[in-house]
Amino acid sequence: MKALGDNMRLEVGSVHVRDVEASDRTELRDHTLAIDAAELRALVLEDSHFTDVRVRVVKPGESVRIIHALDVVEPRWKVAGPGGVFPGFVSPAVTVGEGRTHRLAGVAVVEVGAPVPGESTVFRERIVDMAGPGAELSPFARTLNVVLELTPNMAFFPPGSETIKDFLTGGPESNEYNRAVQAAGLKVAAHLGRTAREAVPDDVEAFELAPCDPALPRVVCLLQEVTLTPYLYGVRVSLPLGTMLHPNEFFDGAVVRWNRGYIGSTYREQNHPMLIELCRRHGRDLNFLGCIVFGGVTVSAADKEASSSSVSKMARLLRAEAAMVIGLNGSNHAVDLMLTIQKCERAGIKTTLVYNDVGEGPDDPGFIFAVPEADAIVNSGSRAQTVTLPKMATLIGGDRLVDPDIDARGELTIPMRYLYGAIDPSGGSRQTVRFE
Amino acid sequence: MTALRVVHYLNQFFAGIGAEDKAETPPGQREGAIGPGRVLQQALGDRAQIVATVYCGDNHVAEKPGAVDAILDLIAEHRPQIVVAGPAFSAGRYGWACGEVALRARERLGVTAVTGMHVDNAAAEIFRTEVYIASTQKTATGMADAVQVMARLALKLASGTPLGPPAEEGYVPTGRRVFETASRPAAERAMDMLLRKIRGEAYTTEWPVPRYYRVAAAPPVRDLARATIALITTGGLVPRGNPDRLESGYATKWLRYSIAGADTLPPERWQSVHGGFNTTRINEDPHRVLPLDVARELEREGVIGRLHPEFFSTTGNTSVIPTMRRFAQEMGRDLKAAGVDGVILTST
Repeated sequence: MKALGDNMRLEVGSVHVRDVEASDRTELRDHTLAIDAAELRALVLEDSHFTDVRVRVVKPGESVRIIHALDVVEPRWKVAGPGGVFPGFVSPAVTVGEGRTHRLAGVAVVEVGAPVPGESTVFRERIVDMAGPGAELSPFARTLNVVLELTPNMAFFPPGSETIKDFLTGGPESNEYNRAVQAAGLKVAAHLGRTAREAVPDDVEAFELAPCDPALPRVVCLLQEVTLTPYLYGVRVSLPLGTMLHPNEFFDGAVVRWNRGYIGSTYREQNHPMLIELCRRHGRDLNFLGCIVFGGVTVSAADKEASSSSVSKMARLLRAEAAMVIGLNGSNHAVDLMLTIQKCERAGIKTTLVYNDVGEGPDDPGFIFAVPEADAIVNSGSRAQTVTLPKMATLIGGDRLVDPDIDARGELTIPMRYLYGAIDPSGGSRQTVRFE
Repeated sequence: MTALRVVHYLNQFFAGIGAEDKAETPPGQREGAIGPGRVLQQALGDRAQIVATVYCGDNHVAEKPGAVDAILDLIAEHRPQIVVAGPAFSAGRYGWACGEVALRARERLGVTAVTGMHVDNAAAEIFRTEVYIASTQKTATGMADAVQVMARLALKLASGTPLGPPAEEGYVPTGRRVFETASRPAAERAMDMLLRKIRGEAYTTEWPVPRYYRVAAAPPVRDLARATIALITTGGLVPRGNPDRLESGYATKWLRYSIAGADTLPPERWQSVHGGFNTTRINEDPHRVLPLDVARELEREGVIGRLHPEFFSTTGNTSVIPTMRRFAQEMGRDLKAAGVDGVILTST
């Protein structure tokens, strides 16, 4: 029997994969991942939402542009401990974050597909260039990518389903299909991760919020999600009042990103730079208390009061002295964020915010809304800064971007928000904006 | 090394001509430094030499057409490499003159130009994006500090040395963005900042929060029964099919649609393309975002005089503030010209 107050301890073993090659067997051969494309195809086609899938391997430095990327997932497998990876999708929805998980470091599964009938194209477009200036900005240009190009089964889209009833989330058929897309990516990622179940990892890092020196400052991490709610344990639920998660749950894939929005991917949640940094500092510089994930549709001032009050109250209940805040700029939810910061600061909880710039031009401060208490902000890059991407030899996913509607075959000049993973407040990016 | 040639601009008061009673003084000049120019010369040291001082009365420069051109003609005679204007502290007309002289000296003469004033001087808001403005105290008691900063900025800019952040260098933030790649990722920088804040050590935000423009509300409509009322929405309402391709976010335009003679907005003909909320309810009944039905009733009942025959629409989603400010100015001009007395603005 475990002692009272025993901690969640997760060992993450990394196998550094140096190459991915085609084979008639999916297995890990030393540091090379062999994949049987036919087997992966059969795995995806178990779900009748798809009539076909093309499996392609794309490597860093290749002249390849991927458009319509819907999510990126890192292959992982639960080796010991309760539950499995991606709970609620490929394993039971039991609490994860304990035991041992192996990961194929350097490999990513990328789901790709054009919009289906009734699907909203707002905030949908995400691009990965494997070479050139775009490759220097996107973390997914540095991974060996197993790309799944999915073909939808149109039988799931009866006449009328092409009507976009809601520009933000699209119609129910498209929502269901997109969940299937993500499930397919997670299933393939788990299947590939399983090849590492008996491997001896190159390194093992233990994540545990063990009791520590009571003199260390108590720090909570506030992570804002927006209306584009992620899946927690397979459930897509709006969290205006916030909920608590252990960082290890992220590392085991309990948080799966809804495949909309300029920011985020499941891969990022599995390798969340800020959470890893906080865990590493735990017991040394600070006492990391865990995460409060919050955000949702808050249409009224009352909703915003309720959201910010609840989140700041949870931080107080944890007796936090400080909060590391990952915020999402650019719309009404910035109000929820800033009110939360204000309420934390007024309760004596010191905050630091990591935030992306959304402004353009010297008259635009880049904030939708701000409070004077937000006096410690790290700028993690501009969503509006443009980048010019040269023509790539191979294009995956289609010929045209959908939002904006432009030809993707030649040179592209686009705001950086379209470059997958380039502009992100989770702490991994070195992009920043200095204000003169 | 030859010293850089500096021309200093002052108003009549600091040039020693006189106070408000001499505010009509036309542009004039003196050899070398006078008044605050002497302190400025000390701050410039031997790297730059104030060769002349050009001055003008506050009223003259503000009111007489061509006054700034005359000032620039005088400045140009001395072939300066640097023009320093002020400091103006919180003086409004003087602040405007300093900003205008510095800006146009740079544009017309191609010189390095700096000025100085208090951040709340209205001229700081007008010129900060165009001219380097040393951030000063409100009154001339801050003269010594102000000229130190102005001298340092002028010498740095003239030698092509890049300036550090506004707080460090002492200038009013220009709002200009410099895109950079930091030496360390955001997580590490944020961790350092948070730990410093927790420990009570000094920390500097990478991104100061803005001071927002406050728009004073217009006085109430006096006689609603005689008033013309317009409807405007940021809810992305457009004719079905979105023929003018209004964006779902990051709107670059606003549109006008006729509602002359129409009593309702049937859902077969109107829809919202807003990308920031669930539009289902609006698409069932467009009046939920543009209350034409109720407005017509009020018109018939005589509660309002008449409804403006067009409504304006844009998308208020991930919007860029200067763009939205421009929309508001354009719409405002348009409504004013059409004799509209009041607007019902439905946001989402």
